[in-house]
Amino acid sequence: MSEQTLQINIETLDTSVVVTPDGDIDLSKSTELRAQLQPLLAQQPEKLVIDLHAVPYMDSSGLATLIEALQITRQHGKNFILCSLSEGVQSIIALSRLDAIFAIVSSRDEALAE
Amino acid sequence: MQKDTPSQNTKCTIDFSTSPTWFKAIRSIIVSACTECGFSDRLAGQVAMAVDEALCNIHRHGYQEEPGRARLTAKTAFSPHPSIFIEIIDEAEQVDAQTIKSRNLEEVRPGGLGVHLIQTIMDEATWTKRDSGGMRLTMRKTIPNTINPSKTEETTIHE
Repeated sequence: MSEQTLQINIETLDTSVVVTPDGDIDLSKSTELRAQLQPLLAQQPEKLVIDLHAVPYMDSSGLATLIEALQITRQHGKNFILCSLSEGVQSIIALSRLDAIFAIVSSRDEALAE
Repeated sequence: MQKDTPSQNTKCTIDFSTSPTWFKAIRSIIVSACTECGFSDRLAGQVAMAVDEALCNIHRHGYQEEPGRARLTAKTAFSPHPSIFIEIIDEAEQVDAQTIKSRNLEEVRPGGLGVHLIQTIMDEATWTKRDSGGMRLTMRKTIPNTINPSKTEETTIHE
């Protein structure tokens, strides 16, 4: 079975940070996303955008990582935005009734313009 | 995948390690079984998600993230309505089935969503203790708007 690491691109644009994971975020990969997010959360950027266009599937452990990041950014009074959700990610967020909890926009440009 | 002609029902059994590195391959098998049976891509993906969440729970809670074994049997039926029946058995620590519950979704916090997802996606999900040790989870999903419980409930999965 594949042991490939999750590819995660991190881009800083002024006071915003855009994180773009590439691949499924399941139990075998969510700890990698969490490890990448922790130092970014500590930096407290004004806006943290998670671009999910290249994440076809996410399980509840991936969702837990996003919830944790949302709570930390809110504690710091900063913005946390999800953008470009694949159908698979939309599905788990809707089934978990978190679509009203997360700020979700359709594109990265829209997220940066918010 | 075994075909039972002439009804074209299929049955697939996999014995595997409960290491999460296997879970993607198992999701793929479930998606294939569902789509072959007539499920939409979206619904097939959701059934695979329910299976994935069940496997995650076995790994994390049943085996406490230590190496373990499980056996998954997926059976599809075209008649009377397109359905998939899934059984997952393990040798992990037994838990009282009454304690396996969805958490309150009003609380926004990480974790505890797996059982909610399983129960929301599947038409039936039942956990029982196995006499020989470990747990058994049986699940059923029938394509929406075609459910006829009086017939589908007759179908069972045998070890």
